[in-house]
Amino acid sequence: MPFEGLCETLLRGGVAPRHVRRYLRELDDHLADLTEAQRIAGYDPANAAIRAQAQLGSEAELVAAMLAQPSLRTLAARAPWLVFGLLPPLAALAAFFLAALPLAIIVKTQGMILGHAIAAPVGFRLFAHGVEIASDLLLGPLLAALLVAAALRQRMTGLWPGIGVAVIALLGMHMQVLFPEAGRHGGHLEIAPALLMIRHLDPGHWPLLAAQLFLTLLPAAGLAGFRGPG
Amino acid sequence: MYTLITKVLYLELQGIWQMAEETLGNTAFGVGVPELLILKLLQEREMYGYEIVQEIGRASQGAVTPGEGVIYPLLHALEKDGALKAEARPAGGRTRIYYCLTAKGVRRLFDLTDNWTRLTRAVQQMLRGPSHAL
Repeated sequence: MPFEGLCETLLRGGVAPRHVRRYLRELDDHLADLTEAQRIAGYDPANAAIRAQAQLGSEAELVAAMLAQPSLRTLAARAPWLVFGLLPPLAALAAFFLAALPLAIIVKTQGMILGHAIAAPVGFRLFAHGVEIASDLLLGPLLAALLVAAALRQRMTGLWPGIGVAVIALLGMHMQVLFPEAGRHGGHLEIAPALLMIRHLDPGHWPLLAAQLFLTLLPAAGLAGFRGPG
Repeated sequence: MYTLITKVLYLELQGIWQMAEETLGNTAFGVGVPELLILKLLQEREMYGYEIVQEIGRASQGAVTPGEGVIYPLLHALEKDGALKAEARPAGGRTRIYYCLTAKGVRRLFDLTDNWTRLTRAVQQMLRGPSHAL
């Protein structure tokens, strides 16, 4: 593939993949036009190709021109602290909030709150429990996997994405749904970082938390095998 | 030495130094000029990269010969800034990416042209010597 080295250098330099793709495509077309012009001027194919390549510019020039445009770099390259430090906890919080919101709305609008009790039918209790387990096991690991995928796509080093994954793992966002059986008082729906829940966390949730931690850290293994620009 | 100081003082007094920096980004002759030429060419009609480079060479009679491949990052940056719009379209058996000027690009062209005209006028005045200018 022509310009393969250029592609890797630009991605490692933080240039957005879509700009890299388009740049390579345009350079490819431009080189074809230049080569054709040289052929028409009377050069044999080998000479025409060499002259066209020289006219297009050296790889160093082509890289320098792209890196000189800061607006073409990704947000992750310009502000990694934002993408891998600040956004992951906010995204985890938002994801759990959105997962819990429908449950809260159903409880509220379907008249399940009776005095000091949440009187949820068996079917809804099972459904809520399913949402709880799915959120705990999927949301954090999914966010971690997205971070790692974005980092690998942009050829980023393991440091910042590693920090992002660690932040998600340490935060350990957790959903706890306790809807009592009919006739009993109490019940709550809670989302919070696991560390803040430890005091009143149902012991049955510990294996779930351990599984969540393992699955969240799993995508980071992909980073370990990747050698970034250093 | 005295002549140099006088010239710099003249430039400072006229605000030309600052204007040059703002217009050209300090040493940005290599950036400001191609940008101005690209916007000017695209004001007339939409073009793809190869056409733009050929036109610049032709219109400037070879006086301005930008590195052919390095024009694309500038086109991408201008598009990102909203001055240009890019569109892929089939042409001659290939899909070309055509660039055209936006309303923002037209305003930018007017500003750049105005700044460039003032700057070149000022530099020409200066080159005639401080006795003419002061």
